[in-house]
Amino acid sequence: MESVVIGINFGSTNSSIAVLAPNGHFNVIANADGERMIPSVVGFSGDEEFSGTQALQQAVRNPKNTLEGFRKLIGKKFEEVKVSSDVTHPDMVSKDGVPAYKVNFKDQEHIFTVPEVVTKLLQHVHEEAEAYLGAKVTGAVLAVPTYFTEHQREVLSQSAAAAGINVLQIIQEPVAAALAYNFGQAPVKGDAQDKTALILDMGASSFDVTVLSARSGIYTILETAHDEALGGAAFTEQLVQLVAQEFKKKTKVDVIGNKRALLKIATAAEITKKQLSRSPMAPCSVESVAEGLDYHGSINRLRFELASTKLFAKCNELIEHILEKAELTAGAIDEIILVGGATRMPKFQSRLRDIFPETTMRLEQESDEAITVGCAAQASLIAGFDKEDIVASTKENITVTPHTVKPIGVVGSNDEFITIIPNHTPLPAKRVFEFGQAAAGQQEVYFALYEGEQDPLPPKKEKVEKVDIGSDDEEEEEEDELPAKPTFHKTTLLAEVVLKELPAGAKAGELKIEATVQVDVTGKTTITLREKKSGKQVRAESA
Amino acid sequence: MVMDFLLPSPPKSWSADKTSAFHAKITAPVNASIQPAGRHFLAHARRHIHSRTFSEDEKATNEAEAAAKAANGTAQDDSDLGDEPEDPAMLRRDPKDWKDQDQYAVLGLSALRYKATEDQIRRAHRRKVLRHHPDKKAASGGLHDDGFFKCIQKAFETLMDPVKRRQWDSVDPAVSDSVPNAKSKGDFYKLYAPVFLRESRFSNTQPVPQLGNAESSQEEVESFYDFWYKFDSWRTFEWMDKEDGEGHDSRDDKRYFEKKNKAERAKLKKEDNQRLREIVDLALSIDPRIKIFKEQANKQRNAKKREKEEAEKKAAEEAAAAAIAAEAAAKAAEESEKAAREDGKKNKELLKRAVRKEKKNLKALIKDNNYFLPAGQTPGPVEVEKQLELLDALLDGAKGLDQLEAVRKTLEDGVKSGNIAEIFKAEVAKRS
Repeated sequence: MESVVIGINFGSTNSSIAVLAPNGHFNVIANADGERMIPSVVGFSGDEEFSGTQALQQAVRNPKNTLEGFRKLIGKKFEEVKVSSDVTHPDMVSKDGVPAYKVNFKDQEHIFTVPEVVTKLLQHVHEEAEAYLGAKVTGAVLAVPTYFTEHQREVLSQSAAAAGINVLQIIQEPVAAALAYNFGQAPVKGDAQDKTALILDMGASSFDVTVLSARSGIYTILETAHDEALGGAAFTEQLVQLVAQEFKKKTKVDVIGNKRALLKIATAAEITKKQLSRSPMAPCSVESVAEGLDYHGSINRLRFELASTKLFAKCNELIEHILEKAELTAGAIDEIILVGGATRMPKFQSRLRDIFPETTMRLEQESDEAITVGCAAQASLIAGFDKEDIVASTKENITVTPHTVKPIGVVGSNDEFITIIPNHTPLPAKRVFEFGQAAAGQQEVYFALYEGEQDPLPPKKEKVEKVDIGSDDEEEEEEDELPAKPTFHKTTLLAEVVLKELPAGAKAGELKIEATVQVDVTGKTTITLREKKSGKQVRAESA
Repeated sequence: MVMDFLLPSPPKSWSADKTSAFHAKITAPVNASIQPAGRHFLAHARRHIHSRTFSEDEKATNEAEAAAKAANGTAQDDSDLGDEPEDPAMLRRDPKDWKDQDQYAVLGLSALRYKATEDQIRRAHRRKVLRHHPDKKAASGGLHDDGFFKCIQKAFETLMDPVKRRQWDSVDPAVSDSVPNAKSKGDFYKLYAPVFLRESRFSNTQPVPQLGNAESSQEEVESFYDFWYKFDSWRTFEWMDKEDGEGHDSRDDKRYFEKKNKAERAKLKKEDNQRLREIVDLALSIDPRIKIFKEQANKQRNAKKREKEEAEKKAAEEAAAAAIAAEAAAKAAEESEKAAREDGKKNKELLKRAVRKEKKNLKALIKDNNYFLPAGQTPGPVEVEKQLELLDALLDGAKGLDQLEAVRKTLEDGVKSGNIAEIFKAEVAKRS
């Protein structure tokens, strides 16, 4: 049977599906309504049960029986969940300690636990995928946020299984995003890539920041943090406040406290916010906000940004905090990967440039879809394996491995330290480098391996926190100095190796000497020097 | 990764004899979780599970890749047909002379010739048609010249018809018919193997045993020559027929040509058989293996002969030795017999002498002891005579030296004890 594997991003607000297309690209597939983003919403209305786009459409009419935002409740106990039962939220009850929704369905009261609701949504997603592909889906990879516990992952896996999905693997969201950008994934063979990325995932309801290192293509999460108060919804809320103020100014009707009115404004503001990411001005119109009065206006991007200054500042704070925790300077970050719709906001990106003036930002993937694509990429990688093998490969005996603490490298002519194996490299590690010989006619070369240490971070300048930021020009003045790339100095001489009897008569740098440095799990080091032309080589192994 | 870094000479303090020195271990690594995603992680897991090193893993994956490639490699391509240039002279040929054209060259198969499979011919034909089809030529602005296309069709027809293909293969001028020169120097196998391989194509029985090499066994070599001397060839020479049998109005003409052609064919066939025979003869005559086998056979025969001779010689020698030994033994036996006889005589005499001496002793004993009469009795001549007679009887009764000695002892004891008369009487009574 041909294997058809998909990647599913089950987001807290939206879900999406991606699949490897025959042309080698990953396609995010559209559902029956033509939407690439399937709202993570389940609704019950009358005799019918809805999921996805249709469920969202009836949300305003039927808020009591429309379930959303249930992803973060997966695997939680009822006591842990803050219940907000009011007119616009469905009632929550406890069923054997598991949070459950009480809904009116077929004129009867029904209780659905969170895992059951998840199953309903995933079933819908699965059906959409099969309808689009016209084939049976044989397996899927899902992604979860880094803060999901083992128990939460287990519950998600069971819910997905109940939905008829063969879950191949559940991976971390930032890892999926990195995979989508092929971050640090060298071609199958060839040069190892040692890079560090900052992955910023701003979805609708949370802001996840992850520092991810790729060493020879193997990912390690160095540090991760998330803030549920930051997220697209928080920014929308700012817009809602703006509109509400404006509305009050225009009509003298106060809508604060009017949940229904605010919900209507929020739906319109969401669209306005997305438009503001593309154009400096966007209209916003809400019909019949309150007391039969409509709101028609337009919002300036600058005004929105000013209103959201505090939120943007908080984002940067979180990023700086995590860098500090990871003991990294901004210069040590090689790439920034932006995930989630809210990262499209121009201000968000320009504020990011305050910290990282020159770092590459990766956002060529549709930022909403990076995780989905990463899941599909992982799914297509492991499609051919037995499920037991996949499970076995994610066991701790393989995934927990020693990492180097300090960088290993060589010392150049003017005593600068050149890293060969950086810190945070999972062991065993192997690196191959090519050198020339220093002088003409030189017949012996000397290779010394050192361990290094990062130079102390430059003292942090006390930043004057500017709460009210004026024009963009002012900001540019701030970015005078570039954050330096971290430098290292040698500390310990680890080993010396000499390759003798090289072919005579070569010009300086003409001979190519290949140095292979291997470090195994115990820290045992093996160095091989090989002259490429003559094949002359020497191999040395530490005790 | 190429480093912009040059390796210096070793420092002066470096002692010349060592190649490496390790000074410190790296700072103890700490455990951390890696993320189980991406192909590099899969490689890591694979290495871990199979406990392979980097280079072992690389080798293993390369092998697996190569195997996968080989499995996929069955997909057909026309690389086996080669890409030979078309001779402009051939392109200008008149299709009427198709019989004289090189059927294989026309299809671009001159490298394969009789080895070409039906599938290869089909594909080659297709390729040529695609290039030389008159429609194609007309489309590209050329003249409406389908001469070569007709040649292609004729060649294809010929080669796809098994009978016609055999006829053509039989006379294919591009395949040499030559008989190797008997005097040509060089490796016999290299010289003759291709010849036999080439001739094999005419055999009705397949597969055809090949020349083999220096290691072939005698049996193989013999069966090889046996096969080739009985070679059953399908080679025909109909292609060389002077005129097509058809196209003659006159029956006589037709018959005449037919007869002539048949005779010609028979002649050619005979010549060809002769030629093949020559090749085999030649090969046999200079086959180094045959020489070796002959030598071996010779040696074996000689060895047997020598063995036989040796055996005979040995037998003769043994017989002579036995005769001598028998003679010696006979002599020795005779001598010992003689000695024994002489010894016996001597003994007898000695015995006789001893017996006589014993008898004498006894007679002396009887004389000295009052003729064994009871004490006080004076021996009168009668008693003496009587006692001596008794003694003689006793002596006659006691046969042999031992008994005489025993008698004497008894009597001597009797003399000592004084009751000799009674003992004598008892002894006489006992012995006589």
